[in-house]
Amino acid sequence: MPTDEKVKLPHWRDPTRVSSVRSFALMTLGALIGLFLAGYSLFTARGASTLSVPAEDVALVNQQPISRSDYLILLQTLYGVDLSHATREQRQKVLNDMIREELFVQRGKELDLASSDPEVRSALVNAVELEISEDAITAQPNEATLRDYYTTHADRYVSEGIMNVRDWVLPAGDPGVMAAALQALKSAVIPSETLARLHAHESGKTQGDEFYFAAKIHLGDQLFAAARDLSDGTVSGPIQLNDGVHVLYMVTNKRPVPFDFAKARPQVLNDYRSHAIEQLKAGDASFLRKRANVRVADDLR
Amino acid sequence: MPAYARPHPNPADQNIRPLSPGEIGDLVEFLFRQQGRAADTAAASRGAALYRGDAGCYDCHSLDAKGDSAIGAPNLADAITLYGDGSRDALYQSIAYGRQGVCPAWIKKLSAPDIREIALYVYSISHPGEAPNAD
Repeated sequence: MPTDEKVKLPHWRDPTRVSSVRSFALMTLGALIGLFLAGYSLFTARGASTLSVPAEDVALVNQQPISRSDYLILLQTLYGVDLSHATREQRQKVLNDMIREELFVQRGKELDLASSDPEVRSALVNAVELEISEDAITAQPNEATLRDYYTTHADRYVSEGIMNVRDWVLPAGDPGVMAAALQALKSAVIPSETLARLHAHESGKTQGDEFYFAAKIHLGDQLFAAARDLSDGTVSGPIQLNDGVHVLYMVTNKRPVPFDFAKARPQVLNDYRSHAIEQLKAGDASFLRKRANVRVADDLR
Repeated sequence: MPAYARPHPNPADQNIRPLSPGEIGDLVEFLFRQQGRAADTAAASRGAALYRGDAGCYDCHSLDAKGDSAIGAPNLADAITLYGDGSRDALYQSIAYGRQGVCPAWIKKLSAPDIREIALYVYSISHPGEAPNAD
């Protein structure tokens, strides 16, 4: 009987033989170990972190830098000193305040306050709008650009007209009487006996000097249209309205005058910037809307 | 600041009503009086009432017209004018048609030392003959 006869091993335990059962078992074990390690790392890791604070920062809070320039500005604002003149307590106080602020900001993000707090939402919208507008706000257009804008929008840079008009109301009468009335009312001051004779009274719609827009509101479109074309010291023709015949006497009429460029320049610069800002905002809003997935309820489409 | 010669002086605040040309003239006289210049007394009194009332100027420029640096509202009672030559016509222009001058946010455009240099320059021209404290 041979003495070197090998012990008979199960097929899957014999390393000299290929076994698909063994291969699958080992592969499964490897996958399970890999998943376990990945899961452990995922739920326990604190992320990659650096040990040193970059030169341009004064601290890292959960790897979020606190800028040195912000720190110096705050130090200057609060205590009126720079870093070399600040006491240790002042430096520490400002630094601790900034770290505390950063921690609370990070906590706010974790809590997703922007989803629930209207003030945070509003502040975020304002901040994003400011970010979008930044280039337009800080850009300084040259004089030629401003002049171009002034010329293109010349209708904006005019003074508001001013009129002082008296509005007389008379009962309807024959043309002869009306012609005499028009002649009699051609004065800033009408004797009371003349008014009594004509049965005329002042409507009281206007009082002294008024800007055009105010006179238009007070007189109404029809009377204002007639008044606008009157020169100083002239009367309008009779204007029939529901409450009688109106006759306007123009005391003074200062028509709108275009502002020259020098006078209008501050307004032109402001309008130019506002226009640029609105364009940037509209462009960004359009871009954000385009890339967003917005679904609107059926009843509001 | 609002443009009081326009139908809606301040689109952001509908409570501010337009003023008449006479009322704007009264405000100009009030500012002249605050600046210590010769002014029509009656018109200045009417202007004071407008300033502290309907026109709402006090809201930004404070009751004594000395401004509020915290919100960038200039002092109206001193001899420094940001727009024009300080004449009645220039003041009328400002009140009637408004000014929208605001200092842009430079925080992301300039470094802290640059901002400080500008602050020192502004101080030097507003305090001639006085050396600013370098600290």
